[in-house]
Amino acid sequence: MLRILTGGLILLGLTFSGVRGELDIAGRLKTFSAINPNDVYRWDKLYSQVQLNFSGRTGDRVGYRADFVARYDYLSDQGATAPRSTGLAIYPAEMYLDYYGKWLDVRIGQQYLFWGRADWVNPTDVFNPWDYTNMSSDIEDYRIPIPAVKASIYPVWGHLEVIYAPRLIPDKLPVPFSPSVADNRLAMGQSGVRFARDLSIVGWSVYGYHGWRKKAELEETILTSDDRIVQVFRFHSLDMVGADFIFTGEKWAFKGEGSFNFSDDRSGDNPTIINDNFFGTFGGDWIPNDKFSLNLQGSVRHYFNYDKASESQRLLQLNLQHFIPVYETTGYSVSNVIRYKVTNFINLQSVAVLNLADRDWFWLPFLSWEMADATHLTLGGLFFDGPTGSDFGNSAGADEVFLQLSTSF
Amino acid sequence: MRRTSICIGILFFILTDYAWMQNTGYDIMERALKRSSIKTMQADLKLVLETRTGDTREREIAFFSKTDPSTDLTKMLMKFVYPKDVRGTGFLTIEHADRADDRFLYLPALRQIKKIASSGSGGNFMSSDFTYYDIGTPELEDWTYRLLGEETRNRRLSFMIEALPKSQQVLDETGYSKIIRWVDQTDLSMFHSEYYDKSGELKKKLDVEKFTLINGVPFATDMVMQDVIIEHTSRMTFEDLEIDIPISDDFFTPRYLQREQ
Repeated sequence: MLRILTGGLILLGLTFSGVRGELDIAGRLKTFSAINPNDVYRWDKLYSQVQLNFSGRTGDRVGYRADFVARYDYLSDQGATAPRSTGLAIYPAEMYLDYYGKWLDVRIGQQYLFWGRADWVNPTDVFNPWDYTNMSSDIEDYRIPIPAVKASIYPVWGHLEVIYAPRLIPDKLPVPFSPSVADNRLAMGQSGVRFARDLSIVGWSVYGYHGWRKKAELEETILTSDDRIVQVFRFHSLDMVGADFIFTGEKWAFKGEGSFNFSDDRSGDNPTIINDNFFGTFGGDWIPNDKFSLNLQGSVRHYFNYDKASESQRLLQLNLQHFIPVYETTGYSVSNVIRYKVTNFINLQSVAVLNLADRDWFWLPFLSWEMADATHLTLGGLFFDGPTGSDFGNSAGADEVFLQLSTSF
Repeated sequence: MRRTSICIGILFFILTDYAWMQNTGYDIMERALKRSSIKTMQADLKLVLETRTGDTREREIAFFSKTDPSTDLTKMLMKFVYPKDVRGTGFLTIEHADRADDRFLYLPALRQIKKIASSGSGGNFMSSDFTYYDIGTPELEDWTYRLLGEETRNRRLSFMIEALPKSQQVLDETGYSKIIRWVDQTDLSMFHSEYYDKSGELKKKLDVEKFTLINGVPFATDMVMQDVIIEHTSRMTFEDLEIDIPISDDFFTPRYLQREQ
């Protein structure tokens, strides 16, 4: 309903501003190909897409943006990430209206909502789900926009953000980890509030969130009369309070971010639901010159009311020990982002995350060449590994080596 | 820490006081820099980057700046207009007298404003051969000056002034061990400069190819910086330049960085 309403309003805006000559049309054409070295079907992805962006303003107070993607997938369902939609798919990406007030900005519609000041590992980044089947060097490929209303209030002493998203959109995981879930996600709203302030060389924020985990959790397995095993998944609530900070200097920045996450299993008795936990990350950027920058972060997740041995025992009793991983009470991970400018027009970037407890990891290196103004050729790789059930272990086997050509107009 | 006033100081080196006959290098520089009394500026800034093989890339930036005359501190907001793949990328710098500048970056892909390290005045401006120091107003007292003599260059009778950093800090921040400036004796405009790196080697040459008269004051609106070591050049031109127009302080805040247009 919200999407239809926003779409209608944007069309009205497009019509009026188009007449008044304020409509701006831009776009991006991209061809992406990837091979999966682990799959019998080596060609894993081959598609072309065009994204059209319509944006503009109607007067000083109202702005809008509508992005539409038309993607043609040349391959049939055969890769490790199947099933994907094949053939031609047309869908909206972001689509929203903006209102600019004196001290209040409001954005309504389908949008990205990214929280947190750390890089790649963001304990407070809880709104937008991930699309693990579509990882690439473009954040718009692997994050999913959601319908929401965001109010940004600007008193002189900071920035207050209030968000409401009326429905749950879950993470998209490679099969067989994307189950169909019976929950009524239309009734599963999310809401959040963030207050941020940049004071001198320190910037900080505090967060509150009430909503849902984006990954459904296995609740039980049922053996049907015809000897089929049916797995029942369910989404569980998530309440989060968090904070972040950044401390900047000439050639460095220290940053940290942490969240207390409260689940449905407050007592810790139910092994199918993730326990209450603390998730924190701390690290920094070092930028010695214009050619090179390094980001290093260490993260910790600690589960409350959790005993690994008794958790294993309960899973055994439920006959779920093969489906649900048992975590360490306290787990650590490290991540880094390296950027190196090889020449003025060639950039190398590497992003890596390693969870030390499960030994699951993710690595995304890529080389991007600006062939001409706004035209880039990108060669990269995407690698996962880890035990089943772990964050990146779920994507093990979905490795890719990709080549992307894109041009913006 | 206050380092450079980033309101395109290379535009300002003009004098109408011709009592230069007794001038030292310091006197000439002092008079030139005191002409820089711009409060606000708005322009379309174009950069053309060229490699030694002749490969070129263009950048176009909407540029806004505001200087507080009482403190000489500048706020600057830039938005990329071209190339289209980085369109909407915003960059805000707020100078402070007693600490590192505040810098904020808005990346449209992330839909998020990031507070970033200030990276020092020796950092390159938008991947060009100009550094933030080059495009800012030089701090007069950071350097010692010596009049090397006179030379006719580009048919202009000019002073040759050598500037040496007064402290290790200035050397570290700018990356320059020496700058030699050619100053026109007629109007004291600085039309050519040569920059030497920390090892004393000639690193870059700046040529101002066009001055434009705005509100009675000539501004350098077309200039070429050449890195003689890597044989790379950057041409910076200003179009639709407007000065001392009203721009609200609210405009130079992170809030405005993320607006679509």
